[in-house]
Amino acid sequence: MTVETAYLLALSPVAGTLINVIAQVAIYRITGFQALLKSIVAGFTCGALVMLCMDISVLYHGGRNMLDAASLVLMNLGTFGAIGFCYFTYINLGTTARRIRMLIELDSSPDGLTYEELLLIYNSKGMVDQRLKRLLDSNQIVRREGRLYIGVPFVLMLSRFIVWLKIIFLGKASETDNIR
Amino acid sequence: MHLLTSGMGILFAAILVQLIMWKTLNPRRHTKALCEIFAAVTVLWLSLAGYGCAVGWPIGWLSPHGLAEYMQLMFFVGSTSVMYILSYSGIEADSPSLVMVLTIADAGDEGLPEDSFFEKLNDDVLVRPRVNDLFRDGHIVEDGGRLKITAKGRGLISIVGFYRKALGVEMRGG
Repeated sequence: MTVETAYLLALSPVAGTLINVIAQVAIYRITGFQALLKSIVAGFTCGALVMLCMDISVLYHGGRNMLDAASLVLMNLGTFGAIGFCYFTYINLGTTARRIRMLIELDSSPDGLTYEELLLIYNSKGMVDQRLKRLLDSNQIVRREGRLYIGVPFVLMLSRFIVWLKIIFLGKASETDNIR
Repeated sequence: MHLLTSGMGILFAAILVQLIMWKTLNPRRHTKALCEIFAAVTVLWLSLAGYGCAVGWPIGWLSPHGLAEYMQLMFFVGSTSVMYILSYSGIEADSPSLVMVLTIADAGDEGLPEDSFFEKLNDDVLVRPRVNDLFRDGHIVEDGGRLKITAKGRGLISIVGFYRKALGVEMRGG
């Protein structure tokens, strides 16, 4: 493998990420700001295809053995996927992250807010209502005669996995430890 | 194969160091500590592999050869480390959806009355811990009983604001 192709291989996840971001923003704008999640998936797919084409082209002419080539592609896929995850988190940051939303409210109040004033704008009631609707719409929970039950248990399984990680890393199941 | 092995080795070693540190020292600022652990383990790993390569130790096999390989390894370690650190905040803080689903699951076959649901998931559980986080990280301060955003806090929302402008989304109400 020449020095130039080695650099191409190293930079292919960066090129893929650039395509990912440009395609996602373009698709979101073209579709009239309606399909954020679809634009994220489409952008990620475009970026991954560009990166894979670059990698396969470089490795095809590079004379590497199969195992070595596969490990390098896997590594670049890991890099591209991790950057893609960071980008997805960044997009979510401005829409659902509680800390960011509170900061936005405080930034728009030149004299600041008391804790009670902040709660008037941003409180658990609104937060729970919004998430309850989302969980009901996706059938993760179901409502029958004023009572709530678990529906499709996907989010429940994910939640239990996160609790398991919390116990391993933090030694407790919850940050408040009064829920469970 | 040596690059992927090296990259995975760095990640597993860093997570192992984290587990040991969390059990023994329990650092106050987890994100800062995680950044330091990943940086230190990477430097140590590459130094050891580089030295091993120079003196002919078996561990020298893990050392990258040339700038392009170092770049490829650093992109992998850097991006996966950031991904891990971002995901870790999901473990550290209780997501409202997680708390909601687990509270309903705890009620079992009887189901959970909606009223008691709102009693359990109050501001002390969902809002207060995040306000405390903002204080701890220096994003807000208290001044005469009022919460005020700091320059560091403004910096954080300007990062988000840049992207929201690119998308054409309003800054408030998102």
